Amino acid sequence: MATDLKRIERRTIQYSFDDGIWEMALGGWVFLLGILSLGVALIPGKPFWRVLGWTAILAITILSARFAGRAVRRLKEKWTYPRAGFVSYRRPGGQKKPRRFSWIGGLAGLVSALGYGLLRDFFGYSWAQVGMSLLMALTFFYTAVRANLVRFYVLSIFTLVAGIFVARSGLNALSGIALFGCLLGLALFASGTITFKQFVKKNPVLERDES
Amino acid sequence: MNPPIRNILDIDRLIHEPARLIIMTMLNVVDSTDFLFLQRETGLTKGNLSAHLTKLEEAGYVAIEKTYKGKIPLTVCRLTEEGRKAYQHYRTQWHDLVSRKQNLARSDSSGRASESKRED
Repeated sequence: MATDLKRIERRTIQYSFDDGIWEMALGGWVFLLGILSLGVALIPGKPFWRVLGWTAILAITILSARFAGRAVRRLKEKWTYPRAGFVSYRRPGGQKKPRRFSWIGGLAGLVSALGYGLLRDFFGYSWAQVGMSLLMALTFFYTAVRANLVRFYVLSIFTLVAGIFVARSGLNALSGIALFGCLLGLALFASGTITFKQFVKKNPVLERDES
Repeated sequence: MNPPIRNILDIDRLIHEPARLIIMTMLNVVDSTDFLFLQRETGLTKGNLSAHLTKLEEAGYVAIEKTYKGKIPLTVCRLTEEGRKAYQHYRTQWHDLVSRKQNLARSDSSGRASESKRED
């Protein structure tokens, strides 16, 4: 029975990925950042413009993350809830959102900076891209195991292969990471779009009678 | 009354019923969810699901609220603090019972094996 209850818990978690909206939003966001970073990395001339470019990207990153969250909520209200029902998931630890967001952001920034510095000093530039892709692949793998989703195993393998491909392409670190972002963003967006189309096809809007 | 029997009798029957156990397991994972989701995932009829939810609400395990998400009317269900505690308690009790049963089965089979050796 314990196994059956675990299966029910997994299925309930899996539901949040059924419509592919999160993947589309994340893919679009990562692709946007990738393409902007690629543009800034390729700016010739004075470092001042590059610094300005990276500052603008940082601002866009924060603003677009907030916008993406709202967009996901709106899309779910319009497409998912009328078809398959509304679910709001528990926040781990019960912390308030902005505080948790800043903690995660700060920690991710610190780990990335440390990782990048170490990898650059000890192994050379290209390992930064492999390290990043490994981190992302592990995240997708963890999601795949937790929610029992086959397409996330595929995404995990794709992420790792893309990271190795970019690392071997001979691009410098920043251009490489930007290209990796573009590839990953496209893959996520494509996966999300296919899932979303299937979800809409399989789940027509149901008439509600909850009296 | 011996302890294993008392433990079985102590099990929360309100949660132990299969349909309600499924509902409680789902609600334990989420913060809140609506009637439509529960109906689709459990495969219960509207009347049946409604009856189970009413029982859980009367016991104070589930809170039901009629609200709107955008323009969509929703019947939102969530586990109360009491319901969450009762569910956790049920899971622990059940886990203990199963492991005790497994231990008994193991000691039984080892006892039988030693008896058959003695007979040989």
